Amino acid sequence: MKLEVSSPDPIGEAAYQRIAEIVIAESGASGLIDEMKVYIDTEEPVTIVYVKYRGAERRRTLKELATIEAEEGGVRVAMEDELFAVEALRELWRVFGRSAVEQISRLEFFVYGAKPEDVEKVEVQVAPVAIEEIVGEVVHQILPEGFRVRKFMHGQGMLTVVASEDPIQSKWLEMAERLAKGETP
Amino acid sequence: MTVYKYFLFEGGHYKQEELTEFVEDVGGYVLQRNVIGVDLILQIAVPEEEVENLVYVVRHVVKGKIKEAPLVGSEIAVVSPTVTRHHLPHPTCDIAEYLRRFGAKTYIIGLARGVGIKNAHITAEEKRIVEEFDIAVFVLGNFLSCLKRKAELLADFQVPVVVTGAPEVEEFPNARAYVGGIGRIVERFRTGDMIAKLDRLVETVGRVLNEKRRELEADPPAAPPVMVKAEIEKQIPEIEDILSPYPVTLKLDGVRIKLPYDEYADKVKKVVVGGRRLYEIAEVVKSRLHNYILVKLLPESMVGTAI
Repeated sequence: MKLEVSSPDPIGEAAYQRIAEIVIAESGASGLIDEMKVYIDTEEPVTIVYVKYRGAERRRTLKELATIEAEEGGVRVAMEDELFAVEALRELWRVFGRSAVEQISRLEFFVYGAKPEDVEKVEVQVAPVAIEEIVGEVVHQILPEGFRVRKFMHGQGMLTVVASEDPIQSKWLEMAERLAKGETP
Repeated sequence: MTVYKYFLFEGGHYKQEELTEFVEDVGGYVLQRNVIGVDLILQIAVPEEEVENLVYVVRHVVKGKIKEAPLVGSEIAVVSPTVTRHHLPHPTCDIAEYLRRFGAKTYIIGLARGVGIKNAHITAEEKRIVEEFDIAVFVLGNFLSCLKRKAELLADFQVPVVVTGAPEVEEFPNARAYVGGIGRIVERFRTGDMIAKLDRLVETVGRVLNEKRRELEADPPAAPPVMVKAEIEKQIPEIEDILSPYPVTLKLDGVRIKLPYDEYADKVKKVVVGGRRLYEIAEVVKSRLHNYILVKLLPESMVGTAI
């Protein structure tokens, strides 16, 4: 994941870099987000967050979502995030049959008679709404709380938020466009 | 009037009676007693002239550790722009918890509309609540321009204000002191350099409290707050039934009693301290927090003779 935080204030920039890193890590969204750019200018005042996340329709393999270990008699699957556990179990049942899959704890399954490489390939549909919610929550936690006037711009696998405490100005929207393109806002 | 010094004792239970007896014999008080497994932590107040003897007893008789704790006997408001996830539990709760380790009694106060730059403000009611405390620590953010605007909010405070924020600046308008490096943080203070920042805050708050104590010494309260606390605990048995921590909380110039004002104010006013009723030497008013009772001791010059 690529994370860039920029601001005319270097101390604020460093602080928000750390905030963004921790918020993303703690939300478990680092696997969902490909790129995030944050620009904060308290003199304007405006904060822009641009997030590019994995395609909403994408199916992800169990290899990306769980720890898979070969054990005697089968394979142990430990999901890293509860969010995808239900869909993963449903898919394992479909592929290997109900009798071959046992749920041994909230996030762990055991697939009898399977090989790790077969289990790793199993694809899980990641609910698009869930991804958008997670990304939205991450952005909400990063944005300064006082910047409550917000404009959300959604695209395919992309979210841009312009936030301020004043009505959103057109020049900030242009800054957001430049930020998304990788130019200096 | 007796001037008290405050200490934190850490040690075992070995010969602890000798310590508590010494404290009582010299006219001091054990303000708080915490037992954690085999360890004993005491908050002690002793008259200034007995400090050397106390240190001797602790080091050579009780074999424990003792350190001066200027935060003991103070009540501190830790003020956060809001009480949402952006500011809690880090850094606000970390700060409040760390100040407690050094003997302060802290309250976290979240402002209703403290966020933003131009939109941030503090209401008159919030100001009155903060003014009830000995000192207020305002936990602000990461951007200097934002902090400068928020300095305007602190203009009318009578209570000494300490501000924390990420930028390192020498002075902060309308604040007695400023501690840099503590802005909006979303992680626990766990590394050495982060804890060093909290230590710097404790040192700063201690310095400001000592300044306030020195200011009070020019015309001291009519009776030492520790004595008032002890008498209230002795004369109002209902104190023992209070479930809140520190039912009678010490302040630099009085105490906070965690009993409902309407029911107990008259009883509190009649408490005898050094031969005088409390209403003669103090203002007994209703606190804006939970309807508690606030006892603000009058200065010696207003009462005539000190106790």
